[in-house]
Amino acid sequence: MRALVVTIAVLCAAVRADADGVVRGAVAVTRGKDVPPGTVLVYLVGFAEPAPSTPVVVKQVNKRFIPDLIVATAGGTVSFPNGDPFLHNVFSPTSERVFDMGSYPQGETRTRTFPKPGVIDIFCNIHPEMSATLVVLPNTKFTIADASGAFEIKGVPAGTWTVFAYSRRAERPTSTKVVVSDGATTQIELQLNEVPRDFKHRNKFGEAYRPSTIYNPGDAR
Amino acid sequence: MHRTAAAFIALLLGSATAHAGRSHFGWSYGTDIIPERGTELEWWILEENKEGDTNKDETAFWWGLLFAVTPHWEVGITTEAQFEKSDVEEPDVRFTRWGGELRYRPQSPDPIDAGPFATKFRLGVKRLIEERAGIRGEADVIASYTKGRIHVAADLGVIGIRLPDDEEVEVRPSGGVSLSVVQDFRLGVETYAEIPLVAEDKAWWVVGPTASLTSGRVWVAATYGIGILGIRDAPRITFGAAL
Repeated sequence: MRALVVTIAVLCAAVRADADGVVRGAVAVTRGKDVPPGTVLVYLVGFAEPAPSTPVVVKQVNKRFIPDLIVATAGGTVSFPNGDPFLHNVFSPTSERVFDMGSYPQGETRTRTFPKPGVIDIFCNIHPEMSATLVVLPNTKFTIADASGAFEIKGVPAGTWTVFAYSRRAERPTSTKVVVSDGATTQIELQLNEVPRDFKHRNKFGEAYRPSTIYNPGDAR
Repeated sequence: MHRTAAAFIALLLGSATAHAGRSHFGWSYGTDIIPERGTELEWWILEENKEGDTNKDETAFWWGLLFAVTPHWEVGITTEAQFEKSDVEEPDVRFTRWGGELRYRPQSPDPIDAGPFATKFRLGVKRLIEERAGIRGEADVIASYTKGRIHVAADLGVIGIRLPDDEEVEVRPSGGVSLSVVQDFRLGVETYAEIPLVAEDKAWWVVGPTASLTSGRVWVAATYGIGILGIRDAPRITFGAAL
């Protein structure tokens, strides 16, 4: 699934047109009763843009990454401020962007750059329940669908692109081709099927997490 | 047999890697640093065989507990022991030194954010266990460049020993080239030399193959130094384990 996203994002040629259009539509999400609703990301690939200079901020609050679906543009930075009164250790084992920020306390922030498109798992080495997914895209043309699934992406260059819908519990990303014309609005519909996922993972050493009563002295503070 | 070996290697390489304070070479220090608040046990075993005119043989052990106090600074507490014999000395095993050291990496600890060029500076002060009035200082300037699968490093080390009636100064240049074969399993070539500036000992120099592996909590690097000048061979293995 991830390989598909990354491959498509990287292989699509970076052909930039001058004029802008709008892509509007809705994502129809189907899910079982035991699957909680999640954030649905809609993005276009096929062209590259420089990343914004301001970092994407991912807070660590109440042993959660907020948001847990993070979107950044390739070449941009993501900062991880610790808002909890104990240590966190943000890391990623994803081979495209392995990193380990070490352990740092409340009020401090660590930042990392993500030079290439890809889908990257983000975890905390101290708290196994903390899990997020970072989607690094080749451009800035993405949005989060609203609760009804509706979305609108403005400023899309004219051309033929691929639009994807993705969520952390998506069975697989879905996509469709879209032809964007100068100054026009293009309407599309996408379907996404979400399935149960528990996001279990190993720690930064590739080992199972130890019981938190032993491993997490920071919680007692 | 082959399947078992392949499965073992796949298991080793398949696990997440720790970018600890590792080196990709047996003799040279690396520019990596332990993640903030991390702790690592580092251990060296090295041999210098048939060194100099007296055919001195030496096996030395170095243990260090290293703490990352910030994203850029490490502090270490070290202990060293040594076996030594030569044509003019009886075999002797003893604890030789203990002390502390500081290691500083000015660049980001992250290899992507730091870029291809990285440096590290190391400063150590050691107490000589037998020569109670003596002191030993150590310093290294390490630079590395990583491009794709190639990693090149150079380490210029200096040690100085001050005793009431004697002093020694020795320069220890080293460096190497390492190629990633599969993920964090690397092969390469390393060179290392000890050049006394103020001492009666003679210089020696080795060149040899090197291999390194990082897997999970552990990294290991080994070099078999083949004597070019003043020594027969000088193998060394260095490994670290995150605690």
